[in-house]
Amino acid sequence: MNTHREIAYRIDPALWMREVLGIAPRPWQEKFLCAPRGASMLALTARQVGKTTAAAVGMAHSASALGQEQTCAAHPRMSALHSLAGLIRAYSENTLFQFLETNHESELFDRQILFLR
Amino acid sequence: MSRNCCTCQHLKRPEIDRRLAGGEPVALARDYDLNPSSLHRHRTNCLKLASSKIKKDAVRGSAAIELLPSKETLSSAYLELRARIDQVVEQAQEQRSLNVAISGLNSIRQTLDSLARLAGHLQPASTQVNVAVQNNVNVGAVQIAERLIQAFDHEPETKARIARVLLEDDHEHTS
Repeated sequence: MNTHREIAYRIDPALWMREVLGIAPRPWQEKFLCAPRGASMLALTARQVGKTTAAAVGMAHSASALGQEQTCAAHPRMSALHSLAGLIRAYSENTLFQFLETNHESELFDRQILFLR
Repeated sequence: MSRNCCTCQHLKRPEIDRRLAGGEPVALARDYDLNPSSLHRHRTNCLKLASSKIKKDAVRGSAAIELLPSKETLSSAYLELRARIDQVVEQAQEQRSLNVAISGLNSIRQTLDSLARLAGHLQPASTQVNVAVQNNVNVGAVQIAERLIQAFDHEPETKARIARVLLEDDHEHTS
């Protein structure tokens, strides 16, 4: 890959989503993906508007474009985590998954946690 | 009616002919699944190459190559020629026949050049190609991207604009 293109994809996850994954991000997804590092985001949305997709793209971008070593996701329903993992796998083939259970019930809704390595 | 020559009809006839013309014995028939007698007839009748003639030619060629001057011989001949040129120029200047002397020396020089070329001493200078492989491009991209993210992390629009410009630049390079 050309160096310019690589830098562009690294600094702009929305561009990466559009160009590499071929998915046009919605305006709120673009804002979500381009948020500063460590930002706390709250998305108040309807059903089926791409919450899981946006999260999966952000995590896949961190894993593949930025080379982030580990990402953690938690959700009250295991099925939601599985669908998230499926999307991430589709966006970033080399990402390894590990589903772990934790004993910290108070911190996690249903003791389900997804690690991306 | 004379019978057809097996070698003439062979698929690799050009190669066989070339080897025969190069002086190789008819024993090469085995390489092509041919009868040596048939190959001998082909060499004599079709190619008109008598074995004695080939041998003579080959020996003559080898001798001619051996007779070509070595680099050292040519070098000393050139040095000798330079000394003679100086002498001749002096003499010709005294006798006022410089043109004749120079043209004679020129012919000697040309002869030496031809001999040197024949001996393979006059080869064009080989071109040296230096190839530098830059293998730190990816590292550079990572570092630059990281620097840009740090600098414009709180300005997503600026980051997006930089990314767009970089992508446009890449499109221009590739088109």
